[in-house]
Amino acid sequence: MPEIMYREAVRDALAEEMRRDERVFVMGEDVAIYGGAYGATQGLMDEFGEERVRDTAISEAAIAGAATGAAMCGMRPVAEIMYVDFMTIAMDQFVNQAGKNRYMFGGKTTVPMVLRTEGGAGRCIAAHHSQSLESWFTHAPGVFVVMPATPYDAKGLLKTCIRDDNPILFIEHKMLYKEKGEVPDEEYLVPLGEAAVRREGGDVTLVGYSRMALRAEEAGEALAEEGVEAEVVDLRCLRPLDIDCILDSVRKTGRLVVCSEGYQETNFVCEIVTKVQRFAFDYLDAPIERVCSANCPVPMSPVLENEAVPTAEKIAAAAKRTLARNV
Amino acid sequence: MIQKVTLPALGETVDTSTIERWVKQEGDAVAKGDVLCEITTDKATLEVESFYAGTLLKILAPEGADLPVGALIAVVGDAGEEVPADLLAEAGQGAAPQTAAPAAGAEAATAAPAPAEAPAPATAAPPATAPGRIVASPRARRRARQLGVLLEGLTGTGPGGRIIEADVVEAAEAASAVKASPLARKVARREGVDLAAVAGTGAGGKVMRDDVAAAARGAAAPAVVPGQVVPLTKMRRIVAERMTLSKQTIPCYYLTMDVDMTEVASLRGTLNQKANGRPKVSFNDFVIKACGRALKQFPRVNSRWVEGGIERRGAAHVGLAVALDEGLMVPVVRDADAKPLRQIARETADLAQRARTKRLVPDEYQDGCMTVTNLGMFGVRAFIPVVNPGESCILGLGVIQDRVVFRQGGIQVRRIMTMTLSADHRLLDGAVAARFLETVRDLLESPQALAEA
Repeated sequence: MPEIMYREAVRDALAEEMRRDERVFVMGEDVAIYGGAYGATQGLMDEFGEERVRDTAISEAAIAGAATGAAMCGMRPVAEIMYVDFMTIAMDQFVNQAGKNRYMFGGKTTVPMVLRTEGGAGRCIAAHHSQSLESWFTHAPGVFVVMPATPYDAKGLLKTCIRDDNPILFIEHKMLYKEKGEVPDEEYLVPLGEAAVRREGGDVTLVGYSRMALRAEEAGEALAEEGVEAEVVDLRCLRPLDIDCILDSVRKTGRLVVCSEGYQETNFVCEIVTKVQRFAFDYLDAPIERVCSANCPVPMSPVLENEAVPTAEKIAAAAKRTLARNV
Repeated sequence: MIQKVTLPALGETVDTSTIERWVKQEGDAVAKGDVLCEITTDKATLEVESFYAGTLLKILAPEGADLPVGALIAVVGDAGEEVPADLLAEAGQGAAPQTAAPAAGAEAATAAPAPAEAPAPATAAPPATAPGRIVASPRARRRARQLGVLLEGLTGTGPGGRIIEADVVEAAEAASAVKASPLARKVARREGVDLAAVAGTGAGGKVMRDDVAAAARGAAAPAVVPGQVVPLTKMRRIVAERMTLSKQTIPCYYLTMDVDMTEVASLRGTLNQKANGRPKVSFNDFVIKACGRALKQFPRVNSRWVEGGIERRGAAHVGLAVALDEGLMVPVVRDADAKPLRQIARETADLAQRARTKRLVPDEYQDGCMTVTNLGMFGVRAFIPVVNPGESCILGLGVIQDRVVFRQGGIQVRRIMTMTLSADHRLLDGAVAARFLETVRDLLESPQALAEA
């Protein structure tokens, strides 16, 4: 199977869907001539022209609002918000208009739109360009939140999202764009709401998503060297959430560590903790651990930035806390 | 403050219970939720928890006493508090006559010491009994219930000194104090063999799987004292009554049909390869789900014979006969039509395990409309099961064997199972039952649909 980069997987998904369905179009800041801040729309303008690959003004509210309106009128827009940090400006359009429209008009309209954006720390670009804000959107009824960790999932999920009739926030990770992974030539789709078990094990369950799924996998490899078999679950979608996959794993292992690059308090993973304690209480052998980012603006200093976000070492340490035996 | 502890009601059909064992003794400090004693009904062993905090002042029902629901069995109060005479008198009336005498005797003997001892635990207790609750993980508590291990006295080795699953499992294994191979332990648990009673033939007297298997076979033919009349256990009596009632009052008929299980066998293989540590899906689980689906289609089968008529049921609950040493139990898989196979597998494994250790609660063995019973594992080709009174039918499964069949004009070897449906003619006529059975067969012969939803 050929190996391609995460950003190429995103571009290929966009190109394939634009070829398949002429209602699909791309817009955003610097997506056309420049090819996107992280290069995920490179070459699209050459193939599809300026009508279908549109550079916009620097106004996230306008981008999200135009996408919402276009979707209600029968188009299938894929709009890019350069950083998830800037979603705050697009939030009213996305959360209040796109997310509620179908409900408030009794199903007479749908809003089939995708807002592509990216988040996460790692480039020392400080507190306005390094956040992980997915938990703000999992709190909003009516929208889906999808966060792929691999090129395979990025392509398969983005294609599914474009064909889905719901407003979807598709959050890529800025540190993953150059990561390579196997992606088949032939067409495939990854369904929404289906987690992937990245590593099987019976001792402790590590749940992560986006870059933290990869770090959990790294932690799992490190733990294996010490004789601990961790099971690693990559959520892929936060909403819809594959809680059954998590529950199955926790029933097997009895121990759970949830990982997220978002700020620790009221993080989305708290929702997982609630569901697990409710539906698998009798299977827990240790308190659930969470490994999230520090409750402070993401620091610019590389040393502090690394300290503020979860690392494989921190995840492995949390796993060991659940496994500790005072023998 | 004086608080009465009475024998709890455990379900509509239970009116008496037996005190099996007092976990707490007179003078012990008790917290809300502490287990005071274990009681047995005809079907299960259950724990009686304290609703109050204080000291167990007086036990008014000795171990072995068989008492009606609501009977006064103990008194909890403040340390040193006097138990009022009228409560002792009430217990005298409430307890069965044969237990009244020892209770009165015990009262005379302990009336003086009890208050005298009471202050002692109050001061000496903290270091000795570590007052307060037992710290154990939910998983450890669940495992302890399954294995019949008491958490009291276990040393916790989990985070913060918590008792974790491994502590419970190790205690259960240590309790047997026998060297045994892991496989032998597993087989022993499954067969209900006490490892301590097995002579080991492995290195250093280690008990091996074959030893356990031999013991299990031996246990099936225990030493017999000729002429001895063995008194009926509660379960034996209930089985005898129910089965006699069935044979004497139910006009039963029997339908036998072969079903091709080849597809189920291959699908089951695929599913279980991906089991990934989860309980494996059994043939019974497929049949239970197929019956659940078929029940939904046939309201006349999904019915119970009750006083005054035929009760139609909405949900498809399917019972599974589980053999025990002294009888059998039929735990019920609820909503069998709607659950994924894996969940049914998890539930049947758990229900069977707890049926064997008598840890089912009444809700878990009531409410079925039909039962699935399987003797195929013993090589039985077909058999006629007896309907559990109230239910509409029972499906008996035989062994799945390679049989030569004619298919598409040629001879093929397929995995065939013979199943026999015994049905109560009062509420279910032959044609409907036959179509029901045919539906179950069709579902099993194209099982993908069972696995998908």
